[in-house]
Amino acid sequence: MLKKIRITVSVLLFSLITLYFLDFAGFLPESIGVLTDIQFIPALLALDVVVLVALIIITLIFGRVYCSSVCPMGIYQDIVAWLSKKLKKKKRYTYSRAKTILRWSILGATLVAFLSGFTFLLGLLDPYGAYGRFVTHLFRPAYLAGNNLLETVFTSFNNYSLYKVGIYSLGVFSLITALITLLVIGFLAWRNGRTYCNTICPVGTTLGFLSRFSLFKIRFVDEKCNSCGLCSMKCKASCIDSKNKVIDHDRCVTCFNCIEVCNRNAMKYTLVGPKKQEAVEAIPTYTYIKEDKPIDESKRRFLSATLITSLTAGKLLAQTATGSVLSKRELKRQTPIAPPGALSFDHFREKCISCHLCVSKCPSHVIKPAFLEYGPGGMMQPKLYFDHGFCNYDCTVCCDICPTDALVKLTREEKHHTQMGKVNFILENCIVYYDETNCGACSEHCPTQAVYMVPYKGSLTIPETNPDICVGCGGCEYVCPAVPYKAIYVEGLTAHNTIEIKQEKVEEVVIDDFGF
Amino acid sequence: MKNYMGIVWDRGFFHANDLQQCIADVCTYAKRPVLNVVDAYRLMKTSGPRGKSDADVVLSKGLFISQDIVAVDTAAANFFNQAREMPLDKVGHLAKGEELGVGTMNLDKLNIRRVRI
Repeated sequence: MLKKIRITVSVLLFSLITLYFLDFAGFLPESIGVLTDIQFIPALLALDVVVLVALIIITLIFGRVYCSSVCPMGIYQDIVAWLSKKLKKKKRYTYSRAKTILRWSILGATLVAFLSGFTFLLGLLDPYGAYGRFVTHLFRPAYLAGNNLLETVFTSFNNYSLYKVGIYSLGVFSLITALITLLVIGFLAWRNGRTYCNTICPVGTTLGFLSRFSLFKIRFVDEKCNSCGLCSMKCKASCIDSKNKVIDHDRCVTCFNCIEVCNRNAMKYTLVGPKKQEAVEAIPTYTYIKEDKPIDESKRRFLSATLITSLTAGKLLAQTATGSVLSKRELKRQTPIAPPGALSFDHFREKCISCHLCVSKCPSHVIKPAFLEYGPGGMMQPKLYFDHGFCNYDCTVCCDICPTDALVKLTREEKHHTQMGKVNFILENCIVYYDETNCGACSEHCPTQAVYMVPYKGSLTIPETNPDICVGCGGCEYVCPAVPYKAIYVEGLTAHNTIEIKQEKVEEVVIDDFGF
Repeated sequence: MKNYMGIVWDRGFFHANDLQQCIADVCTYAKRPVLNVVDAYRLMKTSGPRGKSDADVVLSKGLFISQDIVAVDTAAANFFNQAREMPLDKVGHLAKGEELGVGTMNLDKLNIRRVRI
């Protein structure tokens, strides 16, 4: 019964959160966003006390139900493990000792890195963030392609209920990272269930520590148990020592597989009773033996190698960037543009776990992951680009949905006054200057008229800019027809400013006549 | 007449190759609208097409309907002229449209019903 409940809840939450990332047509209600807000690391970073306290209390009462039912990465592993069971009829798990030193050192390293501004490591290992990247870079393009294929089919039958959508490249680095993470965690899950949850995941380590003190625990009913070992064979977390009748509650993810499979009713999910507590304490629980499992060493090496290479690469790139100068024709953005609500690079880098929900959900397709533009600590964190659109002046979707509040919630008014970047005009590239032909597209798109047209030669008008009232929306850059280099673009700011918009007097013009 | 521009994928081509002539040309497309409506309820004086604030618009509350696309555009341009200078020779596609036989700019020849509500 418990297992059935767990499966229903977990499949439901998993499907909903996946659909939330995939959905481009907006057929899901907006309230579905709460599924991202209840994830552990986002709640921690957003300092959402209500959710955090709720999760901690739930773990202290029921154990790691977050890990078994809420965390999407957990359910991904369960799906992989289930597939593995389907293909390998005699799928048996075996009890293994806790990798305590490994777990805690990864948690420690993540914490230290985070405090030194290297949020990239936290984003990489966070289960929700990593799952978000799976969907954004791997599943979503397939979903969109499927939609486009269906649209072709439907249209051939004169049914126009579907429409084609653009599928844009979001950067190779994030794609490769997502793919590698999917394959590594998938491989571990195929082989041995919830390995990632109990060796790498920082949330798992934290909640595992808490669940040691949980009120409800899965326990052996000693009199009924004959140490047949069935429970141990089904335990995805490899935490049941059936010979000594001991469960490592630190690693138990309360999936209830053991209770379901035991045919002697010798496993129960119950509250602590004083008598029972004595009996459990008499048996030695865990021994910390450094097991030299080859795969763990390679994990450590991979993580430290990534850290070192990325740090050096970042340093090298920073050196070359300071040496380069804007050439006469070619333009290159020197500072990335952080999405609205980021407040400043420091604030943003600290809080963003690169889940890429904003990347998926931006209606104008202007957000994509950065590589090293924010430095090595900010790899994969989103930035704006204007190849396929510009930031809609009235849109606040990215700020509304960000689960960690890396992008703080802005009202429409606040968004209108937020300066994310400043406009730069390159006279040499402008077709009014170069081809002496009329344009003005940049000014037409500017929501604050930071770009306006002034008289030029003859009846021509040429753009002039007032960067102080520019909001950095990229409308001008997106629409500029100049090839091969745009004549106007937005340069990012390390800290967003608030602009002052002069209120213009409304002229009372009364038109009473037809005029013709 | 400018609305016709929306029926093609690459409007940039129009802008790059004699915009006024392109607009007039596209109006000769085989499928013609039966009725043309110009919504002049609120017209934009400056900072178009997006505008910055209410200061850029005039609440003129006008509406023009005609079967002749060039005529209705001419009427609208004249109407607009009352808010801000809009000489008809500046709006090139009107004359070019008339040349191609898409419609007529001569409003005096037409039977116009002027209604005030």
